[in-house]
Amino acid sequence: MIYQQLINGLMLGASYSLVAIGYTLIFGVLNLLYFAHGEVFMVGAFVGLYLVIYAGVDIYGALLGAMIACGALGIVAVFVAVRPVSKDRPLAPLISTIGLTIVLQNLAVYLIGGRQLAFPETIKQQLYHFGPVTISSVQIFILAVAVTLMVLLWLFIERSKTGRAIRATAENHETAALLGVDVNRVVLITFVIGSGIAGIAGVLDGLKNSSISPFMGLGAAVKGLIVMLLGGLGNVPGAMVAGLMLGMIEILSAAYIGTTERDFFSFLILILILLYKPTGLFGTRTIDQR
Amino acid sequence: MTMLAIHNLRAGYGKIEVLHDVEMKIEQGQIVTLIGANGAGKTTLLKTVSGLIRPTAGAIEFEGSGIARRPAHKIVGLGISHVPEGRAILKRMTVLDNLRMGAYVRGDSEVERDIGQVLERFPALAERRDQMAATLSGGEQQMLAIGRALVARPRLLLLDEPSLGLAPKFVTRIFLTLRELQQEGKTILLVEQNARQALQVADHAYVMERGRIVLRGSGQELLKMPEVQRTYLGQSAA
Repeated sequence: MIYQQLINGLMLGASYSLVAIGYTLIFGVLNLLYFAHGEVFMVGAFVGLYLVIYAGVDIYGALLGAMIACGALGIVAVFVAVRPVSKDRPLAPLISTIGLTIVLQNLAVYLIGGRQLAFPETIKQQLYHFGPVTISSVQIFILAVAVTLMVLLWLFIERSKTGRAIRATAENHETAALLGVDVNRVVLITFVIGSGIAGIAGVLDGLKNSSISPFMGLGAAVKGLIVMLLGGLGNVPGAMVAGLMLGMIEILSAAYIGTTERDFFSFLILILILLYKPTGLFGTRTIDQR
Repeated sequence: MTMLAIHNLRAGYGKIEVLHDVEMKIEQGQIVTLIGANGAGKTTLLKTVSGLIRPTAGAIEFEGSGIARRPAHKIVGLGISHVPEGRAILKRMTVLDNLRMGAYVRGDSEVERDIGQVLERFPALAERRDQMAATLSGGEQQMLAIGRALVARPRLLLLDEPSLGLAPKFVTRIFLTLRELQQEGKTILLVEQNARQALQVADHAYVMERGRIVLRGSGQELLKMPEVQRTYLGQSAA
C-alpha cells in the first residue's frame, strides 16, 4: 500500500516539478512572480489536445507541438507584458502578467467554452504489476518524460554556456552584462524554456486526468508556486525535488487522512515555509532579496 | 598608441548629472590611477566606460573607435573588462564557473589554457576551484574577480577599488599583480581609496572632485603636490 502511494505521489509530483521549474527559472532571472505561468500550462494542454484530435498526431507530436506553441507564447509574454513595463518598478511586471493571465483564460473560455474536454487516449492503457505495486503505461510514460526533461534541463543549466549565463543573470544583471551576457536575450531564452516545459506539463496533465478545462491553470499555478517556495526561489534542482515531495505529501495525506484534506496540507506547507523557512528547504533567498 | 580617450563626457543617473565634461587619456601599457573622495564620480566614470551607464554627451574612444553608446555586453567583447567595486563575483557559482563566465565572450579553444594560467597566478583559487565562490575570503574573491576579468583577454582593465576592505597582505598582493599585468602588456585604469600605493604604481594619475578632473600628472608628481598630500595622503603640509 505505502509503495503504491509513493509511486502515485511521484507521478503527481513530477508534473508539479515541471510547472515549478518554469516559475523558478523566470523568478531567478527577473525576480518576478510570473502569474501567467499556469495559463501557459493550460494552453499547452489544449494545443496538445487539438493536435491529437485535428492533426492526428501521436503523443510525441502533441508534446512537441505544445512545447513549441508555449515557447512562442513565452516570447509573446516578454514583448507584451515584461519589456514594455518599467524595470524600476518591481511590481509593474507582476501586474501586467496578472493581466496576461486574465486575457489568456478568457480567450480560452471564449474559444473553447467553460467546460471540461476529454483528453483522447493516445497511449494504450496497460497495467504492470511489480509485486504489490501496480503502474499503468500512462504513468510510466509521464514519469519517463518528466524525469528525462528534468535531467536534460539540469545538464543544460549546469553545464552549458547558456545555462551558466542564465545562472549569472539570476545572480546579478549588471555583473552578467559586464561579462558579455546580453541580459535581455537571456530573459527571453528563460521564458521560452520555462514556458515550453509548462506546455509539456499541460499535455502530461491531460494524459493523467483524461480531461482538461480552461480553468486548469490556476490550480497548476498555485501548486507550482508552493513548490517554488519549498524548493527555494530561483533554485532549479530545488524545484525538482520539492515538486516530488509535494506530490508525495498530497498523495499520502489523501490516502491516510482523507482526499478532502489534500489541498489543506499543500497550503499548510506553504504557510509553514513562509513563516519559518522563507528561503525554502534548499534555499537561497527570499522574495525581497536579490 | 592611445588606448582610451574620453572627451567632454557627461553622464549620470536619471536627471542627476554626475560627470561634467570629463577629459582623460590613457596610453597603451600605462597604469592610470584615478583618485578622489567618495561620491566624486569615479565609479560612475568606470561604469560609463564599460557601458553600464549611457553618457548624455561626449565621446569615449577605445583604440580609436567610438564606444560611448554601446551596451555593456558588447564592450567587454571589444577588449575592456570592468572589475566593479565590491568584487561582484557570482557567489552561487563555483570558482571554476566564475572563471568560465569570464570567457563568455570568447569562442576560441584556448579558454581552458587561460583559466589554467589564472589558477597558476592565484594558487588559492586552484585549491578551491570547485567551491562556491561565496565561501572564499574577501582577498580570494578579489583575486577571482580579477582572474575572471583576465580570462576575457582584455587589453584594458578597469579596476574599481580592488584593495577595499582587504587585509594588508592581500593589498600588497593586488598591487604586485597590477605591476605584473602591466609587464604583460595590459593597460589599467585604477580607481583607489588607497591613494599612496595607487599613485606609486601609476604612470599617470587624475584627481576627480565633484564630477570634474581637477588635477593631473604623473604618479610621482601627484604624490608631491601639497593639495594631494593634504586631502588624499593624510599629511599636513610639510
